[in-house]
Amino acid sequence: MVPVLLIPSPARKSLFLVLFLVSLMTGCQTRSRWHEYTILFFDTVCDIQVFCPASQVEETHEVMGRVFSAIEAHFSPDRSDLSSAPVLELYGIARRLHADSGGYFDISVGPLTRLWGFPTKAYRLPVPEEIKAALLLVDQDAIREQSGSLVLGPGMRLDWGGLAKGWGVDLAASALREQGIARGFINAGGDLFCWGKNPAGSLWRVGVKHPRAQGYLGVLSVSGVGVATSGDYQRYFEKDGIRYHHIFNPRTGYPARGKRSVTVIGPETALCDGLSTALFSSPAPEKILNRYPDYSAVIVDETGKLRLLGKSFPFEIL
Amino acid sequence: MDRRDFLRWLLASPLAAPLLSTPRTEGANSALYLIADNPQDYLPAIVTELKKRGLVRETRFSLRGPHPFGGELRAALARMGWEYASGTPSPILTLTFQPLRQPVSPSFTVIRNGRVWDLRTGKLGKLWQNINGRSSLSACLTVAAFPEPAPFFSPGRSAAVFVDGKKRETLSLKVHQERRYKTLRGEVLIRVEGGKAEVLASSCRHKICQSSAPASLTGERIVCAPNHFLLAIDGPRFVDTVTG
Repeated sequence: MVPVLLIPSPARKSLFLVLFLVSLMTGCQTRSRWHEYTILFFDTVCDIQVFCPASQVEETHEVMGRVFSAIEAHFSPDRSDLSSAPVLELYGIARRLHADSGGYFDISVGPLTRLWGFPTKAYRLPVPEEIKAALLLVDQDAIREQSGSLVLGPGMRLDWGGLAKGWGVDLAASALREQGIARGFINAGGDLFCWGKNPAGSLWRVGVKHPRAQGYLGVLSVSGVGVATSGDYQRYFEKDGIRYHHIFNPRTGYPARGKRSVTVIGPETALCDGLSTALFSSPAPEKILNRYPDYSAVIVDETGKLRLLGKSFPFEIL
Repeated sequence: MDRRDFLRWLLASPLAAPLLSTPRTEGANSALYLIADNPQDYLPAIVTELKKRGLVRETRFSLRGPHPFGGELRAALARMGWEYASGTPSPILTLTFQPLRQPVSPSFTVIRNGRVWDLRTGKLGKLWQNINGRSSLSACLTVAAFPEPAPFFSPGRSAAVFVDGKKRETLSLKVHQERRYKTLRGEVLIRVEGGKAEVLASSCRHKICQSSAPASLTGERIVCAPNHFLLAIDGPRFVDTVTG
């Protein structure tokens, strides 16, 4: 190897310039900065913001794609194979929520959502007889686990909509953290998990959408938690001045009444997702939340009155 | 104490500290400081003007703590159609009484985004002359705090274009332009004009993106799911992310 000092001066200058540029380029690759991107999954827009070197961004894309594709495949409404490990694991969470909510969380509401036309957006107001008939097919307790698979009764259909997205967010966030990403958030259509500090170096500021107006109801300042919201404004149709939304009371077969939105904050996004549905449907949400001491809820009732339940999180009301 | 001295005192007092420490980007809290023995004569005109200027949108208020003119203030605002909303978590205007140590000339001042905001213009110019021209001093300070509407939908600065999850480019909303993007499944043609971005044509089946309204405000999006195409408006942000 030729000692650097023996290289003629102009060539030495060029060499230093090249070395400088190479070090600059590799520095850009290894120095962490914020990266934001958006992907389409679960029929919704998913925002991801991570603090990592540019060289790691592709890897995060790959993780997100892998996790979300798997969730979509396992929890598609038309999937008949209910024996996969993810299905059985998420069913375990669904069973717990069903029991803790006194049946107000029920993944067997598939026949109701179909009857009202929500999956296809061909909305219709069913007659009471149709609702009565559909309710005969809604009973999470009738689902059996047999030989490593879930077994449904004839005509039953599962609706994983109140859980799967949140669970996907948890799995993806966990995978990114295992990759060493210490700051970021994943937001799949309002079901989100954020960890570390935000770009300003403080807690993440999560705006909670106002259920009836533009803008926010308030702003949460959180980190290391999941957040999910169920609202009567997210998917609905109106007939004769009455709003019919997509969150069903599994006892009546009609959209749950009494609330406009429920936001749940807590350690696991899947439970936030499921609890927001359960609290929305239940007439006694505080009873359910008492069983989840690490979780909190922001509830807007049908008159617009706001209530905060459960564990206290910084929430700036606007 | 004249207005300048009052402002000096106000800016140094703990009353204004929460407002002055609010980062400018948040703009979440502002307050009106009204010094007058009969605030009910002035407050309606001032809040009407604040409403006209877009600082106040709704018409709900509450009284925090006792106020020597509480009854009169409630009656005056009720006559304007304002709703007394004691006990609700977020009334739009919260009135509090603060006695001053020494009487000063009557005045009114707004602190907004950490800055003193001069209201002595337009219709309020006459009101200012009226209130300030009074010979009697007052030690009655009424603080009317109001959270400003969240700028969730503030005008955007640029449109970020994503295809298959990757950002293709960022287009300034100030520059008139048309762009065609080839995707794995077809193509999308967009136009930016007059601060708005819209999809002019798309190879997708249902043309939902094409029939979407033009996007111009921060956070607005136009999505073409079949083409894995997303146009998102960037601009000043009030929060990091949103649930709901």
